[in-house]
Amino acid sequence: MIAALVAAAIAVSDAWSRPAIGTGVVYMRVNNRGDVADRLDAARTPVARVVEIHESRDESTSMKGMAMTGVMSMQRVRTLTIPAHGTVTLAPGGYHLMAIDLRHDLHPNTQFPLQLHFARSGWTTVTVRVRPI
Amino acid sequence: MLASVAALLARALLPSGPLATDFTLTDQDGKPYTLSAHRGHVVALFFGYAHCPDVCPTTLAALARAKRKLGAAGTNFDVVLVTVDAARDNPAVLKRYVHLFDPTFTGLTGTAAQLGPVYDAYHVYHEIAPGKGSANGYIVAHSSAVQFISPEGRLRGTGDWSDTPDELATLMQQARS
Repeated sequence: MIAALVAAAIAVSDAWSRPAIGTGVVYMRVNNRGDVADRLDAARTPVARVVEIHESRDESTSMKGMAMTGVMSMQRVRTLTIPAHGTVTLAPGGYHLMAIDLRHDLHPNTQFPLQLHFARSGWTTVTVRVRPI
Repeated sequence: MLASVAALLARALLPSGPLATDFTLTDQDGKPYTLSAHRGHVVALFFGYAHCPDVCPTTLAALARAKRKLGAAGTNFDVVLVTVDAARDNPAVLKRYVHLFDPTFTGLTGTAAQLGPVYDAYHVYHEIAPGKGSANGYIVAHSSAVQFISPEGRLRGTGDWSDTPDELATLMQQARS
């Protein structure tokens, strides 16, 4: 009973992906209506071997002495904190889920299930839509 | 207001520019692709890789939408992805990848000896970074600029991954004029 109430604190919306081969992406909005912070700490999907949380960053400023702009890189992050009464948006160029070793190509206008684990709220399943170009 | 004017100016291409360095690489069908053979077209040159899940698909999707927005005016507009990950991106992989976005897109690869001078000529930074605990094998940090080459073969300026399809469509039209 209590677990169900806690789980209801997390709401995931607008989960979407892009066409991909090999490595896919998932973006979404995570809202925490609860009074305590929660953490996204794991994810899995039948369409990929592994799902990780990554963050894209503009690394240009770290290229000291080089006239480089727009150098983008990614880094794995272990957990993503969703503040109490807060929303975290996973969006292009920032936080995203990386679906590694896709078992098939992701084609536009298809969808797949994704399970997300939150440290306090447990597992929840969402449907991810592969957006058309 | 001033900031938005500055942003608008930053998005504009130069009226002219230096001749784009010519190169020959291998396309997604395993055939040679020579840049200078595409005079008369606007070429949007982008460097990325098929295992890139975020920035590269964002850019390619926006370029595909921009091209579609232009309709008939977009027919002589070539989007060319040059891989920064030749170890994984062979022609067959590139074909599957770029054609997910638009069947007219070109994907190029080559040997290290062929690609190195192209990266240098177009000021493309790329670095293979170990996955740092990721199951993705490795990640390639790379320049995300889209370089616009005019029908006369001149480098006219750049866009990047964060540009909207409308912004990219405007740059495409500027590159033609």
